[in-house]
Amino acid sequence: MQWWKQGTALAITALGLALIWGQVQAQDQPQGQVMRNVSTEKLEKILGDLNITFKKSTGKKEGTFFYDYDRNNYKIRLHNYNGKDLWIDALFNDRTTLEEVNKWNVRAKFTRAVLIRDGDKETISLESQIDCLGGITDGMIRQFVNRFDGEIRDFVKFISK
Amino acid sequence: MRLAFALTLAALVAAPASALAQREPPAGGGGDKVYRALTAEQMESMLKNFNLEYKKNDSKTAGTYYYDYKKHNFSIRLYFYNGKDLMVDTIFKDMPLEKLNEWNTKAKFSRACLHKDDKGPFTALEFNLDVLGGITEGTVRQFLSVFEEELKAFDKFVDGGGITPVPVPGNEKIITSVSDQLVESILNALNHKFKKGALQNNGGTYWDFKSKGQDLRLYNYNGKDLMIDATFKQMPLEKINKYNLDRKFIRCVSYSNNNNTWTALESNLDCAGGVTESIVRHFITVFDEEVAAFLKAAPN
Repeated sequence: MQWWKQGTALAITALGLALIWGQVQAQDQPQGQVMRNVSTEKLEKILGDLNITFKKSTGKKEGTFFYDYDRNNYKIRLHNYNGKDLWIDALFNDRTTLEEVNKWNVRAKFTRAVLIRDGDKETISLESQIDCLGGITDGMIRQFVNRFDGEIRDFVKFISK
Repeated sequence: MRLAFALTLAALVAAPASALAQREPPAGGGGDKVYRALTAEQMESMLKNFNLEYKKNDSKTAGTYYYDYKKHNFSIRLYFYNGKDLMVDTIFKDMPLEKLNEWNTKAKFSRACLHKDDKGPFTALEFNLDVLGGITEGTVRQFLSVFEEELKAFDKFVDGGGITPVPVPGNEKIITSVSDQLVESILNALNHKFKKGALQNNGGTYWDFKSKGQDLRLYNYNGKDLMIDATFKQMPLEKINKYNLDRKFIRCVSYSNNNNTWTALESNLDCAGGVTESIVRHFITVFDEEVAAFLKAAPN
């Protein structure tokens, strides 16, 4: 075999091994690195990967950002509080009672419903928070965002009964 | 704040997010102000926010104070050096230098030192925080929290349990299913004596244990998600709703069953996206703070 053929064969073998090794590594670390703080760049990259088109705005406090987006015709807001914790919510103005809100909270796992009252006006906030200080992964953030879609769907069914 | 933006939304079925007023984070997230030096008053305010009951002692050096407090049965001293740096330590019996060196070789955050005073030699587990570079209340909270984890691990190490220092974020394995063995190893490392049970219909496993005098139950739903809860006497729904409005990371719920009524404080961790041992540990330990905050707001 000519030297350049041997070289090419070796290079292809090395590339193949590298690809296999990469896959093995990816299986060992399914969702990347653990972070203690979620940067805006990281969060926006994840939202982009989830095909979420958002409108970003800043909070009154430094380091607070809001991401407003639509999913399945519902308006959702994701809050990033300085990378230390994330908050996601959707608001509804269906008439309800504290008993109904509590009923949701009895069955809920990953969200809670809160009734916000101002005189005769009522809003229900369906919300969830995640603490990042103990560590957070890309996968956890993706799951947090995706899971909320299902929670909204279930909540709408619940509240419409 | 919530009331203000509720007004703007009342006419809509599902409120447009663009109309939402900016929400301020409620309690539970820690202060965001960056300090490059602390006053003693700021230090003490933080300790109070962390629900730590301390005894303040003066030192011979001006501007240096000691704050002694107990956590998880450990006596901890926080050294305040003119607000420029902090140190925490806990005293243990004296032990061979080889053993201390073994700890120092493996541990990431703390160091074990052999000291001597007029009563004889003793070991100190120490951990320092430099304030001058800029810290937040969250940094101090984390500093104290990590030291508590180090203490538990060191205590186990002293008893011959081997070295299990606090895992370093970034070096840990990410798992998408939490085994019962992992939960139990964390509970053991936290020195929680637990009673284990099975959930109905093969729903998973639960562990009952006491933490800071409060009965807690931790649930593992077949590795996919965890829940931790504490129960308290019945509270009016208005009060429960108000509590949910004011806090984050938890859910306060009223339950009734067979003429029994009670209030539960709950927190869930979705593991399907990938978590680590330290994330699970944090989920369990941080619940103590939630219970303390709840008891402060609504004494049982």
